[in-house]
Amino acid sequence: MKRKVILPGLLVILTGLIFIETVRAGAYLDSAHGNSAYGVKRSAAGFPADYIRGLCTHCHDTHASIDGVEPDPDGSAPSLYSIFYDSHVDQTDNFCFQCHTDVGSFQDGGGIINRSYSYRAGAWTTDTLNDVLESFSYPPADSDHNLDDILAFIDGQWEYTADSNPCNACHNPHSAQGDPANAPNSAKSSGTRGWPVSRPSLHDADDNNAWGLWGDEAGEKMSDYTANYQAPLRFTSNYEPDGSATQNGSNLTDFVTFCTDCHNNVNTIFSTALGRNLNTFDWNIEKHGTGLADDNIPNGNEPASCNRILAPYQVGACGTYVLSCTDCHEPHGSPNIFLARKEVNGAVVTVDTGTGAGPSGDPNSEWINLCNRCHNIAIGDARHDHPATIPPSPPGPGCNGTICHGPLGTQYELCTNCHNHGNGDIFDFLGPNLGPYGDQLF
Amino acid sequence: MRKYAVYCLAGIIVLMMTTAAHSVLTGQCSSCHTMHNRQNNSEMVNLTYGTETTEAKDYLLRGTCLGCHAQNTANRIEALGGNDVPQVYHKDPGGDLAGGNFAYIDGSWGSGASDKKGHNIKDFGSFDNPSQPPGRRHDIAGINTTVNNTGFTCAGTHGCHGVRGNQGNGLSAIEGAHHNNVDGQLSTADTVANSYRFLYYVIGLENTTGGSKWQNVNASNHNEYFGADEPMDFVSTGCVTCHDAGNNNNRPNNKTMSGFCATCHGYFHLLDSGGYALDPDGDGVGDDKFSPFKRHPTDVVLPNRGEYTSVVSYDVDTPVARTSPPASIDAGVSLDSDAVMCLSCHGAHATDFYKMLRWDIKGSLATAISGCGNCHTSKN
Repeated sequence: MKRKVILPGLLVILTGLIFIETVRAGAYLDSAHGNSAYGVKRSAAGFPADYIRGLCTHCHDTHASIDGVEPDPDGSAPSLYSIFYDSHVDQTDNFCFQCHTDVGSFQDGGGIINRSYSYRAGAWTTDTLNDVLESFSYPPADSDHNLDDILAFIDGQWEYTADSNPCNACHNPHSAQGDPANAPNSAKSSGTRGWPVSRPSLHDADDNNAWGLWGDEAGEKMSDYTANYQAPLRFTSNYEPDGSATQNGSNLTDFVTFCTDCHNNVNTIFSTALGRNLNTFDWNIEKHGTGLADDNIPNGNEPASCNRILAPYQVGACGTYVLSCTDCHEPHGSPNIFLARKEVNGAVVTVDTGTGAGPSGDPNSEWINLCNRCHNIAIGDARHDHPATIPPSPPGPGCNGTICHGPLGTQYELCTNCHNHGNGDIFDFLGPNLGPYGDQLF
Repeated sequence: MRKYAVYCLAGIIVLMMTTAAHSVLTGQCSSCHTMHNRQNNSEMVNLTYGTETTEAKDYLLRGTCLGCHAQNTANRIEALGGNDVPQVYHKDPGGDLAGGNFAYIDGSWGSGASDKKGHNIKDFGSFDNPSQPPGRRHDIAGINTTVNNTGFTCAGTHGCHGVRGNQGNGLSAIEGAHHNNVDGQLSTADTVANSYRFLYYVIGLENTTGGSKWQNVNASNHNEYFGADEPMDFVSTGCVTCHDAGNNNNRPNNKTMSGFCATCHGYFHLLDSGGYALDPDGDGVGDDKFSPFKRHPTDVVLPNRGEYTSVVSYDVDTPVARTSPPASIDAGVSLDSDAVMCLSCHGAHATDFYKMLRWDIKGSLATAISGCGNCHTSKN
C-alpha cells in the first residue's frame, strides 16, 4: 500500500520537475546571447565585472546609469531600447559591432569570431574573414549587405521602425544561435548546428516567441521548400551545409522563403551600391528556382546543356534543381560582387568586377567563373535557346550570333546584362528592345 | 508660569484626544511622549538607535525614527503602547515589510553587507558616499551635496517621508502624521498623514490584512501602488512636476509611486526635457510613453499584446501599479491599465540583492533574469 502511494507520488514530482524545467528554458536561454557558457558578457569601464554571462544588462543599460554614471560603451547619452550604444549609425557603426568585431570588442575575453558562409557551410576554412564587422566593411569594389538600405526598406513594415536595428531584419537577438554553435573556428558539423535567422515578415516587436527562429523546425528546411534541392559540394568533402552525407536540404534552412520575404517580385529595394532599385524576381519561375530549366538545343556540335552540368548535380535531374540563395550568395558581405560567395560548390570563385576576363581570357566574362562551378560552359559555346521571335544576326540584332556572346571588337556583352534575377527579356542595350526571350534568363 | 503650563498641557491633551478620534494610533500618550524626559530619576527617552542620545527630543517624543522603527528585533512589526510599529531594520526570519529591511545593507541580516543593497541613509551610519542621487535631475536646491551620506535621512528635505521642503529634516517633516494617520486606502494624498506610507503626495493602499499588515505576501494579500499611464513630463509642467507652487515641498504632481522616486531620480522616470533651460541635458526615458525607450520606463502600462499577455496574475516579486487609485487588493493584472513602476523591480528601503532589486541579479543566469522575465515573458 505504501509503495503504491510513494511510486505515483514520485512520478508526479518528477513529472512536475521536468515540466518546470521545460517551461523555464526559453528561446533566450537557448540563444547564443543568452547562453550561460559563451553568451553575452560585457567588459567595459564602469560595468560590473561580476554580472553573470548571458544577463540582459550586458546589452541593455536599464537606466543608462550604474552608480550614477553610464557605463561604457557610449557613456555620453542613453540609447533607444536601453541598449548600451546607438542601435545603428552607419554601415560600420552599429550596436552589434561593438561586440561582433575581432578588435576592440566589448565582449569579455576579446573579439567575437564569426565566419563567412563559405567558411561555415562550404568548409573553406582558409577564408581569413573572422568577424561580422569585417563582413560588412568590404570596399565598394566588393559587396556587402547595405545596412542603411535594409533599414530604409524594413522601416514601416513588419513592426520595424526607423529606430530598428537593420541586423534585426534577419536576426532575432533574443533567439539567434550560432551555426556552428560556439565553434567559431570550425565549419558546421551535424553536432554543432544552431539556427541564426528569423524571418523579417514574422517580426513581432512584443513577442520573442512569435518571432521565432527560422530553419530550426520541421517545415522550415530547404527540403520542405522543394523536393529538388541538391546540396552543393563542400570545399573539402561531402556536402553543405554541415559536411554530412545529407544532400536533400533537410539540414538546411529554407533560405528561399527567408530571403524572399524581401527579395521577391513585389518589393522595391533601393541599392545604394548599385544606385538603382534591385531587380525584382519570382523564384517560382526562375530557372534556378522552382521554374523548370529547359535543356538547351545544341547548336551544331555543341552538347546539350545538361551534359555539361557538374557534380553533385546529375544529368538525370537536370532542369528540375532548385537552388538555395546561400548556394551562391553570402549573407553579409563578400570579396566578390553582388555578394557572390568566394567558395561555391567546392571551389574558390572570383568575381571581382564581372567585367573581367573569365576562364577563356575573354573580357566581360568573369561571371562564368561562378557559373562554371555547376555548368561547364565557356563564353564561346554558351547555350542560348532563342525563340523564333528573336531574329538571327545578321541581319537583325539577334542573340544567337556573336553580338551578345561573340567578340564585339574586343568586347563581350556583360553576362549579367541578360542573365540576372528576374529577367526574361533581352535588354535593349543593343538597340531596340528585343522583347521577351521566351524563357527566364536566370 | 504655572497657569501657562496648565494651558499647554490642556492643549496637548485636547489635541491628542482630537487627533485620536481620526487616527488609528491608539494607546497611552506616554508610550510615545514624555513631558520632562525624567521619571523616577530615569530618562524616559529610551527608543533610540545606535549612538543616538537619550536627550530630550522634539515633540516630547521618547524616541527617534530609528528608535521606534529600527529596533533590530526578530519582529518586522513591534508592539508599542498598543500600536503596531513597522520595523525597517530587523531580523525577522519570516520576512520583511513591503519596504524592505535596512539590515541588509550593513549585513546584520541577509547574505552579507553591501552598500548597493539599499538607500544609504545617514541614520544607519556611513554606509555609502554617493555624491548625488543617481539619475538626479538638477542641483538647484543643492541636492547633490546634501542628499548624500551626510544628509540623506528618513524624512524631510533630504529624505523620503513627510514634507520634503523648507520644514527641515527628521521629525518636523512628519509632524502630526502619526496622529492623523489614515490607514488602508489613501486616495487623497494631500497631507503627509493621508499619503501612502507618509510619502507626501503619494496615493496607494496599505495592506491592513491581519498579520500581513504593510506586507506584500502573495497575489491576493499585498499593498497596492498607484501609477500612471505616462511618465511625468518636465517640459509640459515645469517645476511643478516635482515642486508645489510655493516651491516649499518636493512631491510628484502625478501622485504616483514612480513619480515620487523621480523627484530625486528624475532621469530614470521623466520624459526627455533636453533643451529646457533648467535642464539642458535632460535625458529621460524617452520622448514619449511609447517604445522604444532609452531607459526602462515607469508609469507606462503593460500593453495587452505580445509577451505581456502572459502577465495575468499579480506577482509580489514584480508588483505593478494601478492607474486608478486602488480601493482594494486585486490579485490580477489588468493589461492596458496597470503600469510598471520603480518598485516593480526595486525595493524601497533595501533588499538583500544588488541595486535593491527584488531578485538576485548576481545569482545564476536563470535567477538573474527571472525578474525581467516576469514581464518580458518570451525572453527567458
